[in-house]
Amino acid sequence: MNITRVGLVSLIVGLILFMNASSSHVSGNLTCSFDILDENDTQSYVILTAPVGPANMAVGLPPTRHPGLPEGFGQYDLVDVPVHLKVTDADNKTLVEQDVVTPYSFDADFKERGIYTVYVTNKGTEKTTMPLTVIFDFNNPQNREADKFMLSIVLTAVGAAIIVVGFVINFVSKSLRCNRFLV
Amino acid sequence: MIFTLLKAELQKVWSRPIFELTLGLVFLISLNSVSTLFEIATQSGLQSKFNTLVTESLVNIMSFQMLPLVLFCGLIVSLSFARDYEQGQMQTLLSLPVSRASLFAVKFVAVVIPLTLVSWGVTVFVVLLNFYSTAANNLVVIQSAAWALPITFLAVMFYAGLAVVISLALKRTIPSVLTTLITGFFVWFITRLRVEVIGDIANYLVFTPYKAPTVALGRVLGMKYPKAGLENALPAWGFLALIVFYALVFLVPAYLYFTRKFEVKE
Repeated sequence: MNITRVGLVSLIVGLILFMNASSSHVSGNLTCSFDILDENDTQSYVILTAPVGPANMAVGLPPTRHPGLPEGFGQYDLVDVPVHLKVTDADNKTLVEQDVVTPYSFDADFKERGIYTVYVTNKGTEKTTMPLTVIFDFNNPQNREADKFMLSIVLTAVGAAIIVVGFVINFVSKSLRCNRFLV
Repeated sequence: MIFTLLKAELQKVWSRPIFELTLGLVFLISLNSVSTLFEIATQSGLQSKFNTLVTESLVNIMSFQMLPLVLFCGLIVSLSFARDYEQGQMQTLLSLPVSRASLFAVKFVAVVIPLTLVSWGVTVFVVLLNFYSTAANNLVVIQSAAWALPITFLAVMFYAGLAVVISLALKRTIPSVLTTLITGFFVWFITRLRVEVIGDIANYLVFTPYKAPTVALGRVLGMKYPKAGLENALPAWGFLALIVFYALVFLVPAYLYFTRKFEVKE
């Protein structure tokens, strides 16, 4: 495989990756609720994520229930519950740590790939669910995967550079061969 | 002599732009078949969720790669066998001091191995790119992706065997390319049909050569299928045995025909 072909392969891979990574694939919202928290119980949510940029997070946002559900549904979906909230990023650095009252929303920025952890401790006196909601803008270009986007640019640039170098080498070697023949 | 032949064959069938087109299409399809990593889990359930995501992505990628692999396998095998016959190169090749078995092996390997490596390499690249995180998780990804290599190899062997039979039967480049592409597409299309369209018979499609490799990969990696689904009808090794059978079903007759009966007419 000659150098121009290596460059072409890199350029193709880079361009396809660029097409995919230059737009957001995480629009909309995602809500999770695992346990019912008793007084002073702590729930920890782990968010395994790619570097998808800014989002809005909310704890204790009660889920929308359809009318007509049997009695008892949503009886633990309480609001105005005092909680202690702690959020750590992929490097285990604390981003937020404060006492708040649910539902509480805050801005988050998933800058790095890895595990973000949200700890919520029920400081109220009643049992309650503690859903965690993550909301992304619709088709916000800032929510593209930063690492894939960067890699795509690098591959495209390297591919283009290698192709140019390959063409130059071919051109020079052909010229030298022609000159030798003429001499 | 065999290695020289293999090198020449590789250069011939993977010349520009076949390799670039194959890589580009397989990469495009693979990249679009995985979703961005964003999952919420509990601390205790994280690892199991991660493993499930990796397995689902691998099975998805393999499932979506089937169509381009079928199409390119048909195209390249036809270029290797039928074009050589049409252009009169087969006569020269058969007059070389190598056995017909070796010649068949060279031609077959020159298509199957690079295509398997392109497909598997793209799969590993896409899955690692999507799921890389800690060293332990990267190891899980590589371990899971390693299973895709033999399964992809067997799947590609089936497509190549089918294409060899068609090429040897038709002996002309364009008709064999078209027939292989249409046959491959048709058989692939059938496996996409759902219960709503063809009724209960759709459940049995898991045993077809196009579905069995993905189910084998899923079963080997511990993917959960519906309890009543026929994916659970065979153990993981049963599906592996099935795809070994499929890999040989066209290859053996094609090999026997090429080594014993195949003749080059003037």
